[in-house]
Amino acid sequence: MEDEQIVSLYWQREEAAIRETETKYDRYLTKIAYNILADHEDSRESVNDTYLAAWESMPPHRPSVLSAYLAKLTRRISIDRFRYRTREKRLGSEYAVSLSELGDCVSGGNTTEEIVNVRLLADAIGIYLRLQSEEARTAFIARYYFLDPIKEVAATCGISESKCKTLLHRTRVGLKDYLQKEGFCL
Amino acid sequence: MTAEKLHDAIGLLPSDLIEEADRRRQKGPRPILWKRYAAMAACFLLVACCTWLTTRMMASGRATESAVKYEAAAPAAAAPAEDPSFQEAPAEDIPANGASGGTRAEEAPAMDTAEPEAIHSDTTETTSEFCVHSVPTPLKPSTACFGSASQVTLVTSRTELETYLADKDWIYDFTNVQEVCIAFDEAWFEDHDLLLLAVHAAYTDVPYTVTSIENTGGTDSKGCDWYVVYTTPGEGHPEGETTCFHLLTELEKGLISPEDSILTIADPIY
Repeated sequence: MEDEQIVSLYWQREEAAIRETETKYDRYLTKIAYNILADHEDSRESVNDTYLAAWESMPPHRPSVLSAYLAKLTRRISIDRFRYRTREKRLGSEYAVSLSELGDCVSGGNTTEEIVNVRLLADAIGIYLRLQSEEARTAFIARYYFLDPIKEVAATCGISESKCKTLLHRTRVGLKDYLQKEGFCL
Repeated sequence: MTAEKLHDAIGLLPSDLIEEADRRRQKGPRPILWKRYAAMAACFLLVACCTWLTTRMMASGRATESAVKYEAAAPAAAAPAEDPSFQEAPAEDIPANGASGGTRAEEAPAMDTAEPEAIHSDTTETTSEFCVHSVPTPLKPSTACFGSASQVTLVTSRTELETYLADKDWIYDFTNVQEVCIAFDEAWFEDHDLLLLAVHAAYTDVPYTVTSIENTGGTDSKGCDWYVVYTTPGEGHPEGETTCFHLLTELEKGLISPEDSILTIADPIY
C-alpha cells in the first residue's frame, strides 16, 4: 500500500492504518531502534510506541514520506528509552559509539554560561550538510541519524570501511569548524 | 554543549535531507568492486603503452646497432683498390640467387673517380642503373636523433609502402616522400619493388645515392644476403645542416626477397 493511502487511513481513524504500517515498515523501524538500544525487547517496545505516536500525531500531521516521519519518531523514542535506562552506563549499541565519535565536535564540558538552542543548532547542521558532497552527507546522516554501523554506511555509499571512517572524520572536523564560525559555543 | 545535544539537533534535521539519505539506504549496498577492476585495467593499459613505446624505440635503434658493428670491423681486412663488385653495378647484373660477383672487401673501397651526378634533395635522377630518389625527411621535433646510422626496408606493394609511412610518421616528416611516392601505385608495384633506406644525421650539401646492391652468395659471416652501399659524407665534414634522408631505390620485381637480410654500408667519399 502506498504511503499516501496509509496516511489517509490514519486521517480516517481506521485501525487498518497501524496494520498496514506494521506490514510495510516494521523491519525498517526495528532496525533503527536496535541500532540505538542493542536489545530486541527494548527495540520491540520502541517500535510499538512508534505506532502509538504515529496514531496520535496523524492528524494533524500529514507526512509526504511516511518512512522518514516514522523513522524520526522511532529515533526519538529509542533515544529517550536509552537515556532513561542507561543514563550513566555505556552499552555496545551504535548510539553509544556514535556519541563518543560526536564528542570530537564538542568540548563535553559544562558550559553553563550559554544555553544551546537545539533548533538553531539543527538548522546550522542542516546548512553545513547541504554544503558537503552527496556521499559525505549520506554517510553522516546514515551514521548519526539512522545510526547504521560503519560497515552498512560504507556499503550504502559504495566505499570501503576505511574510506568511510575517514570521510566521517573529516565531516565531523568540518562540522566543528563550521559551528565555531557560526558562533556556537562548543 | 554535549554530544547528546548534538544528537538531539541531528534528530531535527530537515526532512528532505533525511529522505534523500534514506532513499540511498533503501537501495541497498552498492558494489565497489568495479573500482578495483577499473584501477587494474588502467595499470595494465599503462604498462602496455610503455611496452609498446619501448619496443618501437628499440626497433628503430636495431639497424643502428648492426651497421655500427659492421663498420667497426671494416678496417681489419685489406681490400683491393679496384674491386669491380663495388662499382656502380647495373641492377640486371646482380645475380638473383647468391652467385657472388667478386670478393667482398671489408674495407671501404676507393670510389670511382667519376663522381655520381649531383643529386639534390628534391630531385630524382638516375645514377647508375638504379633509379634512386633522395628525399629529405627531417626528424619530427619530439623525436630523439638515433645517431649516425641507417635503416633499410623492402616494400613490395603499395599497401606495404603506406604501412611503412604510417608506422614511421611519428619519427619523420614525410611530406616530401609522400609526393615522390605518388608515382608508386599498385600498377607500378606489379613490376617493381622499392627499397627504402633511411639515412640519419646526414648533411644536406652532399649528394646521396645508393652506389651498389650486391648479393653476398652466403659468404657473409653474419649471414646477410645483400649489401646495399650508399654514399655518406663521412666524419669531419665542417659545414652543412644535419637532417635525415630517405633513399628510395627502385628495384626489379622479386630481386630481393622479403625474407632476405640486408646490410647497409656507409661509403665515405671524403
